[in-house]
Order: sequence, then C-alpha cells, then structure tokens
Amino acid sequence: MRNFRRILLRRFISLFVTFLLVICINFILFRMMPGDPMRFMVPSDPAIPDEYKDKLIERYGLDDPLTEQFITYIKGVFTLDFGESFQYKMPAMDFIFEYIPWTLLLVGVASFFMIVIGMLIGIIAAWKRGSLFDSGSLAFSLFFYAMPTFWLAMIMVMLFAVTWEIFPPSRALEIGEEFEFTLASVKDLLSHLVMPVTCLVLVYIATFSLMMRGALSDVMTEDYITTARAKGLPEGSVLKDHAVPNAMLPMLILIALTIAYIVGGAFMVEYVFEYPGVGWATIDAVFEEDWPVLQAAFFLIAVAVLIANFVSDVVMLYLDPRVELS
Amino acid sequence: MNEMDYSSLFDKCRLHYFVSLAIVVCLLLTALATLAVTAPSVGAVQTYYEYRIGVKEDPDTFNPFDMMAGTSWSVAHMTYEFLYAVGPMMEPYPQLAASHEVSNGNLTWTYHLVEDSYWHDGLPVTAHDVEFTFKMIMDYPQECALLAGYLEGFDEVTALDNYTVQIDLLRPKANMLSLIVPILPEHLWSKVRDDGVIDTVDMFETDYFPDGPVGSGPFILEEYRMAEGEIHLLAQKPYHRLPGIEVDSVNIDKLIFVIYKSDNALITALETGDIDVVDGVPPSVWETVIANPDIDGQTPATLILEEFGFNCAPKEWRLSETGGERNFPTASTNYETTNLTVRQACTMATDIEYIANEIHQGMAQPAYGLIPPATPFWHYNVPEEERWDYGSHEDCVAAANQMLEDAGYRYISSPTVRENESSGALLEFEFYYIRANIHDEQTAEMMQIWWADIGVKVNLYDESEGKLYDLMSNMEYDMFIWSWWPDVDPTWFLSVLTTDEIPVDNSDTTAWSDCFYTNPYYDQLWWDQQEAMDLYERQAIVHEMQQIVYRDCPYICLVYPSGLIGYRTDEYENFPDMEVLTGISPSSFWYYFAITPIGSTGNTAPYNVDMDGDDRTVFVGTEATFSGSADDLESPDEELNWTWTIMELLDTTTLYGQNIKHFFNETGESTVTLEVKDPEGLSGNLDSITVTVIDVPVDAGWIIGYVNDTEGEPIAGALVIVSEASSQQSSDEEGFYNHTVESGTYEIYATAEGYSNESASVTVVMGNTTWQNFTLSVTSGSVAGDVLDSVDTSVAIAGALVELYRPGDEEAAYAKKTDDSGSFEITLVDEGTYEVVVSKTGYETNDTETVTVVSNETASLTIHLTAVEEDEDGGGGLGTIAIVVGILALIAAVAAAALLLKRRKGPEPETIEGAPPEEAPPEEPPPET
Repeated sequence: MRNFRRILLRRFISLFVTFLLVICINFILFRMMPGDPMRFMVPSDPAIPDEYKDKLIERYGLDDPLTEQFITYIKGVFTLDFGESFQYKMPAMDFIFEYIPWTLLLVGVASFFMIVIGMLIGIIAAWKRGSLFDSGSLAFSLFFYAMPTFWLAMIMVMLFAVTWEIFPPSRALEIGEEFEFTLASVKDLLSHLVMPVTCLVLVYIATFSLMMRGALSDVMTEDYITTARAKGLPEGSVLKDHAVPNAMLPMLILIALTIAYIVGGAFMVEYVFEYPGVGWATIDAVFEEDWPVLQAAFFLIAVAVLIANFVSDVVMLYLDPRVELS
Repeated sequence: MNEMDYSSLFDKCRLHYFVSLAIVVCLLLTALATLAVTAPSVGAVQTYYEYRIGVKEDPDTFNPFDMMAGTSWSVAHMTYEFLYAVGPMMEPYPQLAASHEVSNGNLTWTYHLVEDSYWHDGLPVTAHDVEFTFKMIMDYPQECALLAGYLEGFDEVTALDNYTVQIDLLRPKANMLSLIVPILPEHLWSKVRDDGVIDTVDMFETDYFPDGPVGSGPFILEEYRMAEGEIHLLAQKPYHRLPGIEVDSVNIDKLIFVIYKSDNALITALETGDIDVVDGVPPSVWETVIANPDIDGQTPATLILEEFGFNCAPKEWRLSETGGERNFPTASTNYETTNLTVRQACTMATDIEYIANEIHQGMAQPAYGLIPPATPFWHYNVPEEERWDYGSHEDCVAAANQMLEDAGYRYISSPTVRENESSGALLEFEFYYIRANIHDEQTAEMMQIWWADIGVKVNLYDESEGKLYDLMSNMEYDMFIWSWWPDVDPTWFLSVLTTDEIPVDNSDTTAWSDCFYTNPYYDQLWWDQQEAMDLYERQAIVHEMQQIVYRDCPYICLVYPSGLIGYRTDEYENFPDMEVLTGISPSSFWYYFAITPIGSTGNTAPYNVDMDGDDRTVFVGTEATFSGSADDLESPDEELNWTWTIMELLDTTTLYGQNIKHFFNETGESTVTLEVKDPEGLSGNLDSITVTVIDVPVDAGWIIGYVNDTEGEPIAGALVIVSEASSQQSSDEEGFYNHTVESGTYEIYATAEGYSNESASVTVVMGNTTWQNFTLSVTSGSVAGDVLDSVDTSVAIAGALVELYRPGDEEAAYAKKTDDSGSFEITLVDEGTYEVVVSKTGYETNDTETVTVVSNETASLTIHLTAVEEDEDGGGGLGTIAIVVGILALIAAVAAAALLLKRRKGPEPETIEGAPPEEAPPEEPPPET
C-alpha cells in the first residue's frame, strides 16, 4: 500500500509538471501566431478614432512587455481569470461557460451512445470472430470512420433536413424558443439533438468497437481463457468473468479521454449543425486571434484531459497490479 | 453437474442481458426519433409577424461607446435615433430632427426636433437629451473616444427649449448632418455618467437600465440570447412618422437576428425557411439559392472597394541608415514601384472589366474611382477619355510597352523582364494577397499573366491576413490586393492616402496608409473638402481627389463587389428596390417599413414599373416628355400615383402623372426616376434613366406631330424615337410630340402599348419645323369576366388572381385580381390565344380555360372555383413513417443477430493461429440424467 501511495504521489507530481508546461505553451503559442489582434479588434472602420484604439491597447495590456503579460496570465490561471475577450468584451471564462451546457449535452449524449454501442459491437464481434456479424460490423464502423465528419454531417443535413424535412437542419432549439421543462420544449431539444448525436456516434463508434474487438480478441487467446474453458465453464461465464474484465483495461483510458474531450466540444459537428457549443463559439476566436478566449478554452480542455488521464491511471493502478512494475 | 447447470442458466441470462440491452438502446433511439419527428409545428394562423435575418457576425456589446461589430451597429441604428439618419439613398435623412437651419457664418446649427418621439420606457425625447448626450461626450472624451471624433470642433450645445437644440461650432464643419451619434436618455445615462462607467456598462444591467436597454428608434432591443446566438428586437408601436413614410411603425412585430457561423448552415436555413433573409449570400451558391421558387435576390452595390496597391514609399524612408524621420529597416529594396510610369503601365495592362465579369462572374462592377458607387454623390466615375484604357487588351498592352520603352525600361539582362536602364533594377516584384480568397487569387494570377506581356514579372505569395498586415506595416512588400470598407461620408476614406496617415515605423498601428502614397496637393485638397460648406463645391473637390488617385495609380481600383441579398417571398412581399435605394438593406430599419406580410393587407404593390425608352440625349433649353407604365393587380393605371424625380446637377424637381414634361436648363447628366404607388401607398420597384443634356447644335431643326389611332383619337404616352439622333420623346395627352435634332434625314418610329408600330422617313432642314403625324392601329383587345364559386354560382369570389399565360411561358403575361363583385378586366392584351389560370387561397386553382383575344374586342369569361378542404398533414408524414420503419427494422436486425448468437450458444472455434485447440466443446452440456 505504501508503494501504491508513492506511485500515486509520483503520478501527481508529473501531473502538476505537465500542467505547468501546458499553461506555458498555452501562453506562448498564441503570441507566436502572426498578425496583431488589434487588427481584428479594430476593423477597417473609419468611425473608430485613434484615441479609442489607444484605449483598447491600454485596456487589454497589449503594449505591456511579454514578461508582465506572462505574470498577469499566470496569476489569472490560478483564479480562472483569463482576462476579457477582445471580441466579446466580457471575461473569457464567462464566455466559455455560456456554451458549456450545450456542449456537455451534445457530446455527453453522443459519448454515452458511442461507448455503449461501440463496446457492445466490439464484444459481440470478438466473441463471434469471423462471423457475418463480425465482418459486417467491421465494415460498417470502418465505413463511417473513414468518412470526413463534416462531409457526413453535410450529407445528413442535405438528406434529413432539406430533402425529407424530418429533422431541423441546425441549431439547438427552434429560433426564438427558450428551453423549458415542457413536453414541446423537450421534443424541440431532442429533434435538434438527433442529427449531430447520430453523426458523432457513427463516426466515432469504430474507435470503441475496433478497440474492444482487438482487446477482447487478444484476451481470448490467453492461456487463462483456455483454462477457463477447460474447466468446463459455460461460454457466457468465460466472457463475463474472464475475458471482458481483462479487455476493459485498455478501454478505460480511451473512455476517460473521450469523457475529457466532452469539454472541448466537437468542432466540426458543432460547426456544420450550428450547435452552440464551445467549439462553435470559439471558431471565430481562432480567426480573430482572441487570445483570452482561446487560452481559456485550451486551458479547460488541457485540464480535463490531464485529470481524466490521471484518474484513469489511478484506476488502472488499482485494477491492475502489473502497472506498478512499469 | 449442478454447477454446470447453474452456469448454463446463467449463460442464457447473460445472452438475454445483451439482447435486451441492445433492444433497450434501440428503443431509446426510436423513441428519440419519433419524439423528434413529431416536433412542434408552427400554427397555421399567424397574426404576430416575426422576421428573421441570418447574420454571420456576433455582436460584441450593445454599449454605444464600446461597440465595433457590424451586427451591434445594425442594432444600434434600429434601436436609437440620430438627429439625421442614413437615408434610403445613403443621404442624411431627418429622423429625430425634423429640420435644421444654419446661421452665424456656418458656425451655429439649430436643429428642430420632432415632438412625438418617445423613449422605449415611455418618456418623451427632448432637446435636453440631445444636449446631455453631446455634452457627456465632450466632457468625457477618454471614455467616449469611439464617438468623440464626430463632435470635433463643437464649442457649445444648448437646448433652447424642449424641442430646439443649438450647436455652436469653433469652425465650419461639413458633416453636421452625418453625426453617427445615438441620442441617449438623460434620465438613465446621467447615473451611468456619474458612476464613471460610460464605456463599460452593460446595457442589460438592471441597476442602470431597469427596463432593459432604452433608445427611441423604431425597434426595442428586447434581449440578447448569447448561447442561442439570437438578438430579439421588438417593434416600437407607434413610432413617430418619418417624412415620406405612410405608416407610423414598421410592418412587423418582432425582428430576430440569428447568428450563424457556417455559410452552409446559413443558406440551408434560408432554404428551409428557418430564416427569412440573408444579406451576404456566398457568390458560389447564389445561382442555386435564387433558383429556389420561394427565394428572390437583389445585387445592390456595396460600400466596398477591392483594390490593388503599389508600395510607393520613397527610397529614403526604406533605408534604415539614413536615420530619417521614418524607419523601416526590413522594407523591400525594389524601388521601381515608386516610378509613376511603371505604375501607370501596370494599370494599363490590367483588364478590370475581365476581373469583374469573369473572375467575379458579374457579381461585381469594375472600379473606376476610389469611392464606391453605393454613395453615388461622392463616387467619381472616371470619364472614358481619362481612363488607362486604349480599347482592346492587346492595344492596352502595346501602349503600356511603348510607355515603358520610352521611360528607359528595356530588355537588357533578361529577355522577358524589363530593367531600368540607369539603375539596372529589374521589374520583378513580390506580390501578396490574402490566402483562401479565391477571387484575389485568380485576380493575382491573371495580373501575373497580363504583366508578363509588358515585361513585368511578379512572384505571387498567398499569406494569412495577419501575416500580410505584418508585412505591410514593415513596408516588406511591393504589391498587394486588399479591400476597404469606406464610410458613408468620404472624409475618412480619402484620408487614407494622405501623408499624415503614413506610419513612422512598424509599431505605429494608428496610421491607415497601406501604400505610402504622398502628394502635398492631394493633402491640401483633403483639408479643403472638409471645410467646404457648399455641398457641390465639396463634391467637386472629392471628385478631383479621386481623379488624382486614378492618375497617380498608388492603387489600381479593381472592383466594387455586389452585395448578394437573398430573401424568402412566401410570407412577405413588397420588398424595396435595394439596387436603386442603396441605403436600404435588411440590416436597416427602412427595409421593415417597406416589406409587408402576405395577406396582411390583401394588397400588392405595383410591379413592372418601367419608363418608356432608354437613356437619352436632349438639348439644353428644350422640353422633354416622359411616360411610364406599370402593372398592378388591384388598381387600373389611372388610380396609381406616379411620382417623377428629376435630379439635375443643381436642382431636384418632382412631377406627378403618368406622362410628364420637363425643361432641362443645364448641360450635364441628369437622372430621372419614376416611382409608382398604389392608392394604399405601396410602392413598386423604381426605374430610372440617365438624360445627357447637351448644347443645341447650330443646325438644329424640329420634327413635330400628333400620334392618333385609326379613329382619330389621340394616343398619350406613345414613344416616338429618332434613333440616329438618340432622341426619344413621348406624346402628351393630346398625342403631340416634339423633337429637336440636327438637320438631316432620319428614320422615325412611333410605338405604343397595344398599338402597331409605324415608321416614316423625315428630312429636317436647319431652323425649320417638319410635321410628321402617325396613325397607329389597335393590335390589342381586352379580357373581362367574373369568377364565381362552382357550388353556389351566385357567390362571387373577390381577390382571385386571374393570370393569362402565353402557351409554353413560365411567367404570366397579364394578371389582375377580381374586385369585390368578383369581376375583372384586363386591357391592352396583345392578340393571340392565352391559357387562363385563376387562383385563390382556399380554392383549387382553375387552369382549364383558354381565351382568344382579337384586337379591339373584349373577350368574356366566367370562371368557377371549387373550395378545398385543408389537408392537415403536410408532406412530412411519409418521411416520418419511413424513418420509424427504418428504425424498427434496425431493432429487428439487432435482435435477430442477438438471437442468432443465442441459438448457437457458444463460440466459433478460435481462428487465431497458435491458439490452443479446443479440447472439448463446452457448449453442449451433457443432458441431465
């Protein structure tokens, strides 16, 4: 147990170092981008006098020396204050948080389905290797996996929204509606959710089904499976008690990372379906060099990934004693 | 054995578990899908009119002292009032101020405010609010920096009484009618000012604005739903009447700005009817979008100039060691772009007509002048004789080659690239354009090809906008393509090329010059135009400045891109003619005073408004006659209101009636515009022609005469054309016409709607009058009749649309609605056979009748319509069934697969090589004994 704690501590230190490294890169990266954010903040609009531009430079500290900007940034990181968005004139973190609920809903629901369906397909495929189901599901998941996300999304819009008019083409709710806990509103919400979720699930299902199938196939060749079978255990029991738990180990990290990326949103899908998630909201920030918003968004994603990674490490450590050795 | 048994049972349970989980998941999906497909549909009866405009830019803030986003400003122009707003022709248009007067040597401006303007919280708008707003800006220049520039030169602002405000100036100021300063309510903003939060206060902060944002414009800013990307504006009802507008509020109840990030989603939303209008349809999908029967489009000129620029910075600025006033150590060391001849030759070899017509596929106008024609008063269209254009492209290239040759640019060290004889510098340049801009890329590539013909070599580089900006602020380029979005007032845009706007070094971000052009005379003119109080004097200076720029070629003005506005026509009608009224767009409130929901009035605007004849030439001091035609579904021509506006250089005249006469007393170009309104005040498209007024030639003579029909009755509005003399005149009420032409022999034509064309040969002798009468025979008849209910034929159907189609035509040739007694009459119908289509909402369209029209006769028709029963379920039903069936099939498939697996009850033999062989098949437990 002492050993376990020591490893935990070591992991935690490495987590912290990675975190520091990430926030440094987060700062440097955007300042290395060519161009001047002022250029985007102040469009070629004649109505904007020089005095106002000077005021903006002052307000956003754009003429401060880099070291000073860095100190302000580091201070901000620990108070979750990334400064005011150049574009939207509001605190960058508040801006991101406006869109987080939609992202959590979209990517959360999609992740649930892709994990459950993906793993189910993977388990059945590995168990029935070489069967029609195996090759069929393999072809199915690879077919969608190979498809560019935005293309699939656009085709879906074209077919289901424009041609057949079954689902609304874009956005999270009907224009002008606000979400309330009424049947009509829930229907509205769900009808807008179906296409982006289906698109995400179709594209990413292969990640889970193939991984699960691969892991389980490996496990199936292990001696202990043979032993289990030799003991005369029924196949279901072999699968449930011996094969799947062992195959779950590599799946764990994949699931953890998937959950972490929920925070980041799904850029392509949100963009094509105009789903108001974090990805959708930050697209303009990229083009307009809105550093505070970009830093806040990247920071959130980085932190989520780090934490998920750490948690999956710890869980792994707990589940699989062999990990300690490495 | 017992254990085996138990496991076997358990095995079954596991399988069931899998199968049921799969089924549950699928059921969940099915439920989701069915729930979704039965999503709420919009009710059929609509009395609350909501309009949705799709935009691609987020607002930044709604604080007028801190907002820069175009969307925010569009909202501000709708929700606040200005003393003078930007009018339908981009001209100053009285809004909060009803009128103004200038006194005290142009130093005192007195504005008289309208007395029925109210803040959105109900209090009246007074001169004290105006005084407060201007004084706050003057007293807090730092906080109000964004708008303070407009008030430069203000000395004192005083409210003389509740509705009169006086502004005293330190020096005369030309833009006193274009102050883009929203007037703010004193009763709310005085607290904001006192708390020192002028430029940071949130307009939805209830501590300061308990009732939400308050302005006095035709719209109220209701809310901004950031996460949903929607801005909600409510109509202010009633709003006070603006001059020339018949209604006292906009014709909709609510306007929603809907923000989209992707062009695809924006266009899809327009096509599916989620939004009603898009200002800025991507050119690549324009044709597809307007091919949609429910979508119409207009392509008005925009306030954008796409330009090519040369680096005109003189050598001494570019060298760091000179230690001069300006410091650009990394500047480009090719100085040949500073040579005027090189720039002119390059301009000559650039075919901007090609760029506009081929590269922009006609969705742009070739640019001959700095200021775009969207502000026609300031735009200077360089006359043809001044253009760098010598006919065909080959001729231009030859002329450019000659010019370079003469200036000492020869082929010396390279057979393809000219070089400066004296300095040996090659005409080889670095040419930058913005990456991913397909038009710029194609333009740059064409310029590379064209210039190769004159011995100028360019190396093309595509860069991100940020990188290009860096290069430009370091003078690290020779040439570039970029675009400008000028102001309505020309002062700022003209300042871009003044010496004051040239940066001192690369850290100077407040200077606008991008080509480093400098010309003291131009600088002087810039100051002069700012202080020119007389509008026409100022116009002349502004034109001269553009002429200088065209001559000196710091830029090659390439094109003015057209705005592409696509709008749905299934729920609204009476769209304004934005190609003529360039100040109107869906982001301006004027648009919402024009459009009306279909069926809200039961009345449609006149259409096919057309002035007879084309652009014409008339002699000064002679009388010209004009006539017009228009169609209206409800009213005959006599009941329409015909308004003619004749804009001469110094004078604007307004005349009324279908046929008018006017004396042109000044030479120059004049514009004649016809507007037609129906008795309810709805206006159709505008039509205008250009009249060139020239001096009377010494050998002038006259052709006069009458145009009558075969019965001897005069024909008014017949067009009489002397085409060789490009003279066109319409006959007046007595059928009389009058042409002034140079002496000679002419072929002369007379034509009128519904009559035959006649021609005659006439010889005109100097100083003499030649008579030529015309007799036109009738070639048209009428169609009249009634529309009745097919079941109860005593019921007349009012408001049914009767259309006559020529066989095979897509569009109706004639159309009229039935009056209250169900009768209609269509006159002046050309001889022939027509298909008759009669339609009205709630009835089945009748398209079985045909009618044959014989000249001078009236064909009678009686048409019956059958009422239809509304079909509740739309087209979505089939799709719903299909998707449900599809999902059920999927479930069945999964269930079947699972069951199949269960049947087999066990694994396939392992197929992996090296796997231990199965010793005993465990899946078949021995039967119990």
